[in-house]
Amino acid sequence: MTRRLLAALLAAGLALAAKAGPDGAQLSIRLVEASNSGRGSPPALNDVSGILKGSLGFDSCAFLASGWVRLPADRQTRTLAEYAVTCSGPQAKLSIAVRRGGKPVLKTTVSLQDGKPLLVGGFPAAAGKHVLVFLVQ
Amino acid sequence: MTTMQEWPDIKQAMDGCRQAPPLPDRDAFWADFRSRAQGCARQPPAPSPARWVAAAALALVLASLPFALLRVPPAGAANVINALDVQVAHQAVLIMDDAPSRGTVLWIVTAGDEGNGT
Repeated sequence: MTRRLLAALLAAGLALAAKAGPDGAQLSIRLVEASNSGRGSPPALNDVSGILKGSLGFDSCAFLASGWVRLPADRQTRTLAEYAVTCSGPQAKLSIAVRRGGKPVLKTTVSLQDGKPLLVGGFPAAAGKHVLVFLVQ
Repeated sequence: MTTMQEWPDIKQAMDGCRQAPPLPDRDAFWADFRSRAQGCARQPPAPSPARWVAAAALALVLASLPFALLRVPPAGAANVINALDVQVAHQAVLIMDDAPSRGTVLWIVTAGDEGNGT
């Protein structure tokens, strides 16, 4: 009885340790349209509206699409409107390739910190600029 | 001084003086044994399952501690852009850290950006 309990606890601990490892996190990808339309920002973008307003001068942003990628990524592609975002590698060396309408836009390799968003943007949009927000949680 | 020839005589004399030790009374012996046995500290009982569980849980916490420490980023560390290849026409690329949100901005400046808040 005790041995079985110990074995179960060990298995649970190993699973916990594997989950708590350097990877195993999730990367959220959001597509946002930033503009100066004066419409404000939805609550879902509270974490980046300050950057868009303070650093980039946009007073409004609209949430367009989102996707999730489990890290480490194995060439996983998420489609957000006309953008296709392909992620490869671990959180500390994550390769991101962005295509728009099938055409390559950029490739980058980044090291992302938990809870610190990476905004990749400047892509022309109807009312402003498209911004891709990457956040590891 | 004692000589070797005198030793048998001494031995014989001592044998004569030897008295058989008195045998203890049987009932008294066992009564004394039982009373001593009751006074002895017992062996501590084996750890209960709850103690095993607590010990295992502690071991698991210690085992997963290095992983947890590896996961914790250094204080103040920011996102790092190690490589960048912009594949569309652009005028400039801005990379900046936003202190309040601790976020990082990678902004591609294209033609006609003057009126777009950048």
